[in-house]
Amino acid sequence: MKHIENIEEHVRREKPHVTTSWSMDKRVLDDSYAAMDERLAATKQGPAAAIHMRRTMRLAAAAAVTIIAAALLLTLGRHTPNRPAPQPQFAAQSPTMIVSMISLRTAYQQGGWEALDRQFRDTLGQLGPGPSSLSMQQLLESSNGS
Amino acid sequence: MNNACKISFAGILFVALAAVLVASPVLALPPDPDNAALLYYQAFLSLAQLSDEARDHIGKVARGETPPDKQVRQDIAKCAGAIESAEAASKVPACNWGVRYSKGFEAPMPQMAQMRYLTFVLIADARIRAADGKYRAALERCLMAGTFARHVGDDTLISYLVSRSVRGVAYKCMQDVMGRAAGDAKLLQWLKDELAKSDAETLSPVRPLKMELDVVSDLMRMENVEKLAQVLAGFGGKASAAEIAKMADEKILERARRIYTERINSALTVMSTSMPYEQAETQLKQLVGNLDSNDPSEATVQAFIPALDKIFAQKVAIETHGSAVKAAIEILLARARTGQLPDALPSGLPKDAFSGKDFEYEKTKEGFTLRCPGKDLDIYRYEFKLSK
Repeated sequence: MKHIENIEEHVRREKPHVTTSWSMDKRVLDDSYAAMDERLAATKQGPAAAIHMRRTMRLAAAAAVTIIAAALLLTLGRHTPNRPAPQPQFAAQSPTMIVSMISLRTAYQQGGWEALDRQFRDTLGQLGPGPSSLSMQQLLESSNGS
Repeated sequence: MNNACKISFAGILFVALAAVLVASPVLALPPDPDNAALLYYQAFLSLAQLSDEARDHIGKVARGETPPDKQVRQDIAKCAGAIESAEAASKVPACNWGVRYSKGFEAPMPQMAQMRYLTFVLIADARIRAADGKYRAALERCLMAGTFARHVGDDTLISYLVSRSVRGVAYKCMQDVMGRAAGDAKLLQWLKDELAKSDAETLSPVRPLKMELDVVSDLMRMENVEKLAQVLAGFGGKASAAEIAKMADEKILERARRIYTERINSALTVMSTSMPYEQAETQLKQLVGNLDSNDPSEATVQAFIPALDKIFAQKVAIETHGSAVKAAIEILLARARTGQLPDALPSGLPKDAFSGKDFEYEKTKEGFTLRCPGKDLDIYRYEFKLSK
């Protein structure tokens, strides 16, 4: 399969979860031009055909880049691998800091009850409830068994 | 039988009973905790470990946004141990969460998030019971959540806010269940009596505000300037903690302490004085505002002074919700007596705490509504849908 087809197939398979950057764009364009040169060398059908082919290949390359950019834009809302989600400043210091009185007060001060409630939700996500409910009998059984 | 024989027999019986009592294994066991918090902490540890989505779903069921489905029934069943511990806790009068006040604002309060989760579990369980037609059992859960709200208490401002939130979710559930059980006069009378007993609580923002006054005043001193700077930097300003600490001096902090103390003391006076709600709200709003963020002392105060008007509004809103529930019980009892909803609000019912006036009563296709006079927003309108 040719380079350009590789790119199109990649997009068709909905696997555009790659880091987008200028180097990525450049690589896609280089691949496209390489495929175009290969094709031109193989056909050798005269200047008019070469010009027509060159235009077609440029259009195809531009379309591939546009498709990838659009796919990335569509998926950025769901996946932001390069940008960590903003965390409350206190949460960044230590997981237990988000449950300190000042951290909870800051959340309330800055965002009212909604922000405080969100912080409670995040706290459960980070610190959890306990792994499970164990009766004394279950604990004794497990220690006797070991 | 002669007297000597009778005395001997009684003596033998006494010794035998005493021996049985002494040898009884029940007496060898220490008593259960006399601090409800210890039982609640056990409940928190016994809550099922569920995904964020599953917990959010429980929350939606608890708030009545979605009916209980098979999944939530399974998840609540996994929390049976936690509910049992909370049930035991609700029977213990005293509750001390063991807040480490000596740590000031750094005091850890991990129990707060668990309280929110346990509340949703209890109320989701109440809604499952109601969906199964077990109205009394559902209302018992709501009352238990009410006790939990009282136990959450007002140790700190956050505790107070959480406590009011628990109360609100419990009242909302009660409001929905009452409508379904509208035809059961005996159940309504029982609920009325239970509410009269359990609602005698005196939680208020005054106590936590006094506590914060001490903590913040202590923090606004040069010997604690590094801690203070860390807190202020945490509020998201441009300056780093080191820069804030460098800028601070005794004069700035002394002025900040004075402004903060004056404003909180004024707020405490407003909250403790009987006055129309609008007047209190206006005064509290003024105490929170009019602070220049470019003035170091006033900016420091601004970072710590809570939204006093909103805290007060929440207090009055929960009182109003409680009054609406109690007034609705009376309306439903009148309906049970006469066979139809009254055309006008009966006299002598609990009033809207915002205005001090009777609720505006309106019959609807599905039941009736109670609205706070002069308030247009839906949050001040309590709807009671009656089952046919």
